[in-house]
Amino acid sequence: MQKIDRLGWADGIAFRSYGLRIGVRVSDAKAMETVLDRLPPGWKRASSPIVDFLYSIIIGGQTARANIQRFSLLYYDAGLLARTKNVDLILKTFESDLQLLVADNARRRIFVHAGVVGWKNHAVVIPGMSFSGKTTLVSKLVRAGASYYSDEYAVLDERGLVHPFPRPLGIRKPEEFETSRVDVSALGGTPGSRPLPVRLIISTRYRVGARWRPRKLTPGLGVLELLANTVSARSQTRLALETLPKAVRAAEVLKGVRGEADEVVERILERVG
Amino acid sequence: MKRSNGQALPKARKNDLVTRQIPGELLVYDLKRHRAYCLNDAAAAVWKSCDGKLTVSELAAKLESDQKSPVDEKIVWLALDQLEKFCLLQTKATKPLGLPPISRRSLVRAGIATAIALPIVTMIAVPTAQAAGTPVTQAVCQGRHQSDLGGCGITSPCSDVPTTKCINGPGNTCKCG
Repeated sequence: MQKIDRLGWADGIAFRSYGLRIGVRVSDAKAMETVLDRLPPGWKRASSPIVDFLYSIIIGGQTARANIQRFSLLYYDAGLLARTKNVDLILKTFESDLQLLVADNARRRIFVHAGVVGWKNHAVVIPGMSFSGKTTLVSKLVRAGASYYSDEYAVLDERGLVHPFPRPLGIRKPEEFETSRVDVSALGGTPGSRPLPVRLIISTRYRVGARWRPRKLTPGLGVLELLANTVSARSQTRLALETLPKAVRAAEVLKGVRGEADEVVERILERVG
Repeated sequence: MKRSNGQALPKARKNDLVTRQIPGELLVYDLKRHRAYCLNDAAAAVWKSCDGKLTVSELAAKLESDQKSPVDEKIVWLALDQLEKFCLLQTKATKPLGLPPISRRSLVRAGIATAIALPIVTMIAVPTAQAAGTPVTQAVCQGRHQSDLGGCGITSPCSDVPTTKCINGPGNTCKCG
């Protein structure tokens, strides 16, 4: 760690997010603006420079010798997270890792890997693993008029209400692994602002040509569906088992594969009311 | 726990478990195996009654008086089979010789499942924090998450297809290319 500390840092920030004190330092002050853009929604600048978690970003690039390009590096504490010549990739990795850190360690909040939209004062939660089509469904629901809460995490409080985590949507381009950040306003939508009770939980994944004929699950099985996608399920088991049943209490839980998102959007919104 | 005749009596496991009762179901989390279970009322009733002192017949009689409807011993055996399979019993019961395998289907066919809901235990494996998040970049997979059980190094959708990586397929799904 001392070796990294000695590198010489051009800028840095200490901030608070969901009760955690986190620091980020960069080797190039020009990169700071982009870093701030990638902090979790709702972050607040901390008054103290003392932090519990520290990221260090070394921006590489062209050297004086035209044929040599330095690597960009990302560290979490003393551990190297990424080493690449692609600065954008470093920042994406930083954003992803930081969100996961917050989700796993947040105090009094449970983060479920899920897409969330708000409709008529209720939340629709779509838990699922990566590549299950959450973002596609969320973006279609937003285009249909739902308010945007998140395409990555359902943030639940101790009452079981869902809070907004309106980061830019991570939309994948055809034939690519990586995602592009798309602001919800580009889809004609608006982010939600207040916590909502969960009305509908949809466990689904895309399958070519499938028809959405979901079966209704019991509240207990609904909790399992959420738990299977809860970031801190292992580290904060008791809190998760206290919180998730409250979120499911007044919700309908549906499970089943779906076809194209356009075909299910209307049916989902109708079910909410 | 054993009776004088050498018959082992079922006893529910209590260690390293977190339970949460919700209406009609019991949630159980196994802190050792990181598995979560949902026991319906019938399975939960059997599990809670397994104190290491009651035989299967006595368990059936106890459930019968609790639920005020007839409970066949086979229903208790079906619950015990599932509880044992999911490591929720500290001591398993000795099965009588010649007892045929009991399935939900066989009980429904025999008309035993009419008075009481059949015991059902549903299990999920709880992911690591890393597995529960989106691996936004290939770089994340190559970083510290790779070695984690359930991390994207292991669960990457294309990990079983050599020399391929995950690219965006139709409907935002993973296509190995």
